[in-house]
Amino acid sequence: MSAPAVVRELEAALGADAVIWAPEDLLVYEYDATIDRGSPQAIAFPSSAEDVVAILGVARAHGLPVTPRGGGTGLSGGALAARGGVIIAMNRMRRILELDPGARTALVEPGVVNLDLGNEAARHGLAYAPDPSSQRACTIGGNIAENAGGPHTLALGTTTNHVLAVEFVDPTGEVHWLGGPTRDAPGYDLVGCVVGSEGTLGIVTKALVRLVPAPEAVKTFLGIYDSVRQASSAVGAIVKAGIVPAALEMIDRMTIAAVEPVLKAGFPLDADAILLVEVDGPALQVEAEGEIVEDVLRQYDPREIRTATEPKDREVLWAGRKGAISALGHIKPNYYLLDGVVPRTRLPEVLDTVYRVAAAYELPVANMFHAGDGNLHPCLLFDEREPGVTERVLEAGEEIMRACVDAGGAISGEHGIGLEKRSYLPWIFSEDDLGAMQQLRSAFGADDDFNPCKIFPGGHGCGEGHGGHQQKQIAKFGADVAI
Amino acid sequence: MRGRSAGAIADYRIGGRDPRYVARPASVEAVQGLLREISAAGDAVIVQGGRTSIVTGNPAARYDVALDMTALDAVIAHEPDDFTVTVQAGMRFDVLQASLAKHGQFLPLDPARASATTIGGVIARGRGGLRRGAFGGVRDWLIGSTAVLSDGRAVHGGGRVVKNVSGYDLPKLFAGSWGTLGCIVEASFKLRPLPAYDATLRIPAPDFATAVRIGSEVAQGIAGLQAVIALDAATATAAGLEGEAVLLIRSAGMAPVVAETMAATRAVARASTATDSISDPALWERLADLTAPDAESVLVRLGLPPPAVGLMSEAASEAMPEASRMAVLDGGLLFLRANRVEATAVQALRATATEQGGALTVESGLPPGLDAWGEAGGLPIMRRVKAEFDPTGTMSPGRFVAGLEG
Amino acid sequence: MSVFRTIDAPSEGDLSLCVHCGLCLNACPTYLELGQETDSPRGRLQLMKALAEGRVDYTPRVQQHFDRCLQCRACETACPSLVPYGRLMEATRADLFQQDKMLDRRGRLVWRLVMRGVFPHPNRLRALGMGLRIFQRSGMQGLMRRSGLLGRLSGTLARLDALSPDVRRPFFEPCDVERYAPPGPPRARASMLTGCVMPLSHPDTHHATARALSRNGVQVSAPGEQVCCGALHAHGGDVEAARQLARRNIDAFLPRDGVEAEAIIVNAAGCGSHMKEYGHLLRNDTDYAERAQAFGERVRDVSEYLVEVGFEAPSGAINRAVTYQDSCHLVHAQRVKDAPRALLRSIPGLELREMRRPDQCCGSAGLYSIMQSSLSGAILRDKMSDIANTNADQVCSANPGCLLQLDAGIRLYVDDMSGDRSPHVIDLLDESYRAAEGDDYARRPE
Repeated sequence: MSAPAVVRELEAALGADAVIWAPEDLLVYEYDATIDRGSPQAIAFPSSAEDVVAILGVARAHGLPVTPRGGGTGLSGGALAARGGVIIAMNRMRRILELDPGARTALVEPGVVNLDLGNEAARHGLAYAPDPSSQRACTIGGNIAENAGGPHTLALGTTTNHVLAVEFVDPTGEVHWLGGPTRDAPGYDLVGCVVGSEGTLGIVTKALVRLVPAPEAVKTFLGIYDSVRQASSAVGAIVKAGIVPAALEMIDRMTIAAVEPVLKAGFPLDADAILLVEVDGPALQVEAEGEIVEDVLRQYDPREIRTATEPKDREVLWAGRKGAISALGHIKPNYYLLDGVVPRTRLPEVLDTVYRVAAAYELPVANMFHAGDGNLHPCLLFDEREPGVTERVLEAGEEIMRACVDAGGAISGEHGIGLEKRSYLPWIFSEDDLGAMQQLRSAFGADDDFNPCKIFPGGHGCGEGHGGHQQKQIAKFGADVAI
Repeated sequence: MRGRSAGAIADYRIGGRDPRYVARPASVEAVQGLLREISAAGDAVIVQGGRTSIVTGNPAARYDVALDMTALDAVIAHEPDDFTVTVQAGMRFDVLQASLAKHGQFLPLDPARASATTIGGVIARGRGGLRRGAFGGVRDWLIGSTAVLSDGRAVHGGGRVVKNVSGYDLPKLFAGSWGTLGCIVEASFKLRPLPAYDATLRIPAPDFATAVRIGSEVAQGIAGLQAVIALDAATATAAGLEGEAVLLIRSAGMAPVVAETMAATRAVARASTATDSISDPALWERLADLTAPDAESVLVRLGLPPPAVGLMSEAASEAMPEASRMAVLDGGLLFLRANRVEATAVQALRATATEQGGALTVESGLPPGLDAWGEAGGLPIMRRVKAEFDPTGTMSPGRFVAGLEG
Repeated sequence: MSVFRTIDAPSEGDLSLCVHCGLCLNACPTYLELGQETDSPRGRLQLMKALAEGRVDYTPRVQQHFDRCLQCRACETACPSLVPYGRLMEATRADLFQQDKMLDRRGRLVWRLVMRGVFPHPNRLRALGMGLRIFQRSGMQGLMRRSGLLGRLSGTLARLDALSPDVRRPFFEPCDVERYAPPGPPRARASMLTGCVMPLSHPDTHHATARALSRNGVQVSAPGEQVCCGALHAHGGDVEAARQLARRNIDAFLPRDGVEAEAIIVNAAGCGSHMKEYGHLLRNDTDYAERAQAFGERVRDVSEYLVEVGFEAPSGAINRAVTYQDSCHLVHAQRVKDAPRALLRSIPGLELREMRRPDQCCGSAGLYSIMQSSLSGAILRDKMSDIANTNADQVCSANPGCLLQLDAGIRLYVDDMSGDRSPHVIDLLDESYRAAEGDDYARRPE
């Protein structure tokens, strides 16, 4: 089979080994970590901003959509070629170009894996704060697109708080440097717009990120509770006590059941909720805050409190949280992972709703979440081979998201809207709000062919939007699909 | 509505120009109506709150209407247990801070002239203050906003939750847009608990350069400080302090932690003569006020990577030898105040600052022919943003970078 | 229609465990090297599914992606969903091998000659070893290495040569273990796998293993009827040959009418991991299934076993800095990570310096270093730079294939590292015992 013209031109621009187009190879670029699928016609691997410009030019000349992709670990379908076309895979731009311990910054390419940057920073007594659970595989470029969070962003903020400047190719193929080494760059905060824009405003080709000093001491508490109510009340009380922990996480009984057999963290299978609280900073502060945290945890009648200060022991406590989502595959072959945010005080009632909805739809649900941020991740578990269950799952998911919005929350805390939640966006934004956002997209130079069908409902060739999307999801379930 | 309960036209003078009329809307709907009318008429508006930075920026291309936001000054929702607050843009900063303090909370931004400046003004400037090394700037605390565009549409972005990736981050676009994209009417912030104990260490120094040098060592060596600030003699005097030069180091938190931090700081600073005390809030207000621009003097603000502050302060003593100086060593700020300045001196300083990764703005007393802001990266996109959001060029035309008009 | 046809095909249940979360990507050496999903665990699983669903044929490109897999199973350690990747890849290869799709005609011929013709036969292996020994003793190898002739002829040939073990020492025979005995009454009994290549390539390591076990009160034996474990055959898809070898070993170690081994000790991680899975390999063999299961349960890596029974810390000082390369089939397949480190840390004077990503494959992977020599070389080059960055005096490991690959790496890429062979962990433990107690510390009195 001879290569189509678009492939030949991409190969001419980038080199033959920087383009993938064989049908069997394209199969493995159909998915990310969600349910959806998109079939690209070619994958191009740039090694520089100039390469990205070239790819955009070739794709435009052929009227093909382009979609940027990082680690493909996203949880909203953001990396999928929703309308086909060319995937711009950033994985080979993965150098840490510069790490300046004095200025506490690192200049990295977008394909650098989050944990690799963290490890490199650690060698200088520094840390890169955002630590999504997929940090072993997700890339900084993807983190920027989704404004990735993670358990340790409670005190230090999400990705947007840690990206200072980016080299950026806008959808028209112009290269810009946005932002600067400090937050004083003149003009609009375009970096602030780019972070969290889910790769729909352009493509980051370099990023200058902030590093933070690694804390002198860290202490992790694990509180085991007999009810979710007790645990979530303890969460509120810790925050109320005036402490901003480095992390404040909860997992529930179903999650424990998934995690424990795999990771053997020693979690009791009959406990209803486990709280993970971490305080860090100067040793004295950790000690003082730790005492308060432990006191508060005790007030809510825990079955047991464990503590760890050594990295290895803390890792054991954390493993159960960070591996939780993927471990669910172990209970049921499919899961539908939600990402709602609610004001912290509304957590207990929204959790009640989550359990009530799941029970009403006869679906097991596992909850693991960033309690300190009010960021819930209910996971509906199912086996899609059971007739009709998928529809039930989607309906239950929608009801849960409604409950989050009704409680004054939002429909994504860190996974993004992507393909998956486009039809929910009008729940929280008016037509005028969405119009202004579309205008921002236009201002960056994005048209219908740049990363199409993401974030905004509707869109040319993207299906019907507003629920039509869900129909498509159901239709597309294959034998192996997990959502 | 028009002109009602607003002061005299002359109170809204900017750069020697008076507006044709003043409007002081009392509702979001009124703002929408006004802006629709103003833009339809082809007029230009400058949105104003406490007018504490009204002298900052390039000269307006046009100025027809002053939009006084101070009537929109309500707290919409304060959820102490959620650590969030939603307020109207015309609320005075100190009023908000006082109401938060009743619940043991605060918004960790230190605007100059907090008793005059409004929330809208703080957002429009988008800046952190003296504690920005510890707390960052507006963008780090603003979680939601509503702004009215020149065509009257009220657009909302973000929300009232502390973590959010739902739609584009419009609040970040409006923060630091200096009133050129729309009129901010409402904002939500996340909050911090007030520290139990707040102390300031005062270390006299023989001269400003020494204070800067020691301060840099402290900023690099001690984690968890809230501010490390060096003042020269003139600035110290203005702040009500004595001495040739002074280094001020602020630490807050639990009492024993603060005590230990301060002890460590003394050791790094090799300071035997330091005095520390529970922070005098009035001192920090005076210090913040010293960063305010005024019509009578030139104020140059340099935002810098912290390690570059020492070098820049040396460059400044050559370029602007007369200027009084104040440096924020952990946050990377240098303020220079003088009676007058040559454009060439500013250009030279700006070039050095840019080389160091920083930026220079002339906050007041802009020499003719100079851009107040300096060169912006991504200017073509900024022009298109301005054109999309304000196609009629209604909002503060000419005032922002490169004289963006829309 | 599914491309898979045989009973050995990957099971739908196993395949469905993958939720394509991507957490495996960065653990995969070929993904790190090539930066493309097609050569990642998630990608290969997707291709397996596509083969099973008949969405794609077993094309040369698919084959290439499978062939590039090291089967190091680092992805299994990374996987929170417990996808049995190694088992799936072996099943895929087993099915395709049996359909004659794995190898072309020439490949099949070579496979029959070498893998079926030589490896299962200890005598033929020894004969080959003798040939190589003559080549080495004659000085020809040294001459050719110095002249760089091979490198000029072919890079692959040069790499092959670099990988060839030094076989100048006397080969190890199973009966050699009888030279060693515990100092007092034995507290445990164990049987040792001597394997196919190791008696030729690493006889000293076998001696060290037998000595160290004896020193710690273990009565060591080694059945003379044992053969190659069959791991290489299973990895290559030749399950029939693998099963045949497994049955012979089961008969050797767990004879129906003799004394069964209480523990089966292996000092080659690749063999150990394969033998622990004999139960799965022979699950459909009614005659052997049960014993195969029992066999698997008794297999222990030597470091794992020593830590389990409790070993006595040696007292002889080894004043060296050593870095430890995890053997994939120990750390990922058997999940033994701490035991070899515990042995090393017990040695006085020895400083264990961890390298970056010690648990990432060195590119050896059995036959991989020969079949995929250029990719293997690239992986090895990265590994050697991580090793060099530790400034350790020596690198050690726990598997002969890894040790040969590391030796080749030192010759090719590292200037200032000891040119001696890289030691097995057990060699170092033995060296420490000997340093304190003399060469005969565990020798049976004549």
